[in-house]
Amino acid sequence: MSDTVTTGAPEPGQASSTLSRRRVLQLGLAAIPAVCGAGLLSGALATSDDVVRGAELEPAGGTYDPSAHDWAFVMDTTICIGCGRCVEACKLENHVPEDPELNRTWVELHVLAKDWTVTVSSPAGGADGTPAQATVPAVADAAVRNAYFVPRTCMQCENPPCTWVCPVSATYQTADGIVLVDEKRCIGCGYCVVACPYGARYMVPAGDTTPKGVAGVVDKCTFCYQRITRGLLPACAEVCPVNARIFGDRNDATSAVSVAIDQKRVRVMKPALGTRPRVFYTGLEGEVD
Amino acid sequence: MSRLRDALGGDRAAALRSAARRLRPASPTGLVKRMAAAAALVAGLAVALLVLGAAFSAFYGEYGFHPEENARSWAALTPSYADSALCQRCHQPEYAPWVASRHRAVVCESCHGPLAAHAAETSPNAPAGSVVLAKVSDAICVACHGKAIGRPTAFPQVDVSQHYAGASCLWCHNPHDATAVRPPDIPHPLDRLPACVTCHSPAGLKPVPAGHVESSDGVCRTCHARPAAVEVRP
Repeated sequence: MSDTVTTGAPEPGQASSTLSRRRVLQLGLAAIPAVCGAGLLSGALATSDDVVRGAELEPAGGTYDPSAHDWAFVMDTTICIGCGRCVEACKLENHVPEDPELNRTWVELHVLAKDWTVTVSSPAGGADGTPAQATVPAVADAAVRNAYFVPRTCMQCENPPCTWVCPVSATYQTADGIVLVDEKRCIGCGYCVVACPYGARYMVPAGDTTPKGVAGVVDKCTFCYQRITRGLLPACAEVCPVNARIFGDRNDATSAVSVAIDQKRVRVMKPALGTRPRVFYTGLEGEVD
Repeated sequence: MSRLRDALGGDRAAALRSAARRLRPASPTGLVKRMAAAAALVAGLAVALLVLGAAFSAFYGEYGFHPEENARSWAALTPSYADSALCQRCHQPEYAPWVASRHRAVVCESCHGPLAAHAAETSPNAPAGSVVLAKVSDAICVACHGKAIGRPTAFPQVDVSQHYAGASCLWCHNPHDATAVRPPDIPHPLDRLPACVTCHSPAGLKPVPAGHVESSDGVCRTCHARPAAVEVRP
């Protein structure tokens, strides 16, 4: 091969007529920053980070600015009656699979015994109402110290483990704090289902689909994104007969949820994990932390 | 410098100097030409990148990372549950007592199910739609008012095995105004009397009121004998 390195300096003008290996390397080196810059630029244009900032959503009801909202729930375990209307409403509103064990929202019965054992039960997600007293497993009446119902749903964490672990960034957070799944991008590996400390996610079973008709992916509570962006309550909060599910916008200091967070003694579930849930509880003893 | 020459060997040091000399442009014209060639290559790579990017997004774009578009598609889903205010347009006879009753926190769709589709296709002028209200059964009442562990004790609840077992809740209770009409206890002795319907048939001596639940002789006492646990506040 012709090796120009050993043949001495080329004549002026020679370089432009014959493309030596060195010339290609020089130009290639010069091109690296350019290509890197272009790559970074295109990446920045595609998405700046995992958070949708200020995107205007326009559902049927009008304009919606996600950056103007900070949605939250207060679940009042002192007044929840465990009727399960919320679970059924969620299933019907969001096309949740019929499998009673797969739910976006569910209601648990926590039985705290006098010997400090805790029994958590949620047959069929609590959709059929309360189990009769006799069906509560392994808890004799006299031994019960406290018993109450705990409505459960996705905590829409401000610091969500599910989005960290997704290998394809299919799950992301909107500016209003809702963790959503991009079902076109989801590969159905189920890692987020395992990573969620609150058990809020499920794999759509074979033969079933998400509300958008996609099979083989992960589904989860969206706080009824189709409703809250239209100014409606999530379906579970809408049908709750005792208003145990207080939903609203924390950006509005007069909203029911802001007042409840201020005035009731609220806590989150598993606070030590640092997930910073948007779902607060009153009357929860921390027995499942 | 001599230490460098010693370390490298004289020939290699000379070769390095020669290479360094060659890297310097031979003339200003040569520098301009080299810069022009580099600029042309960069421009060419940029064009190639754009073409590749366009081809990539045409092939892969639908599955790319578009959170804003995806969030919009979640927001665009159609709600199934509407609002009780919609129901008022046609169902005023049920709505009026309901908003004044203790059941006013229980919205229409809590018991009747999702009604957005029903409301969308019906109006006072065109009441006949294909989506009809769900038939409300006793199970709905018991889901809230059956006595159970975990339920706040101040919440009205009954033990269904004790409270008029065998009767339907709706025979006595009107869920739209959350009231109950307690059936009268049988005020006379039952010994040596013929079957109840002998006197209490519609054409009998003391007929049952209009609209009375259809019943047969054996079950009258289901309602007309006060049960042991009629109280709803345990």
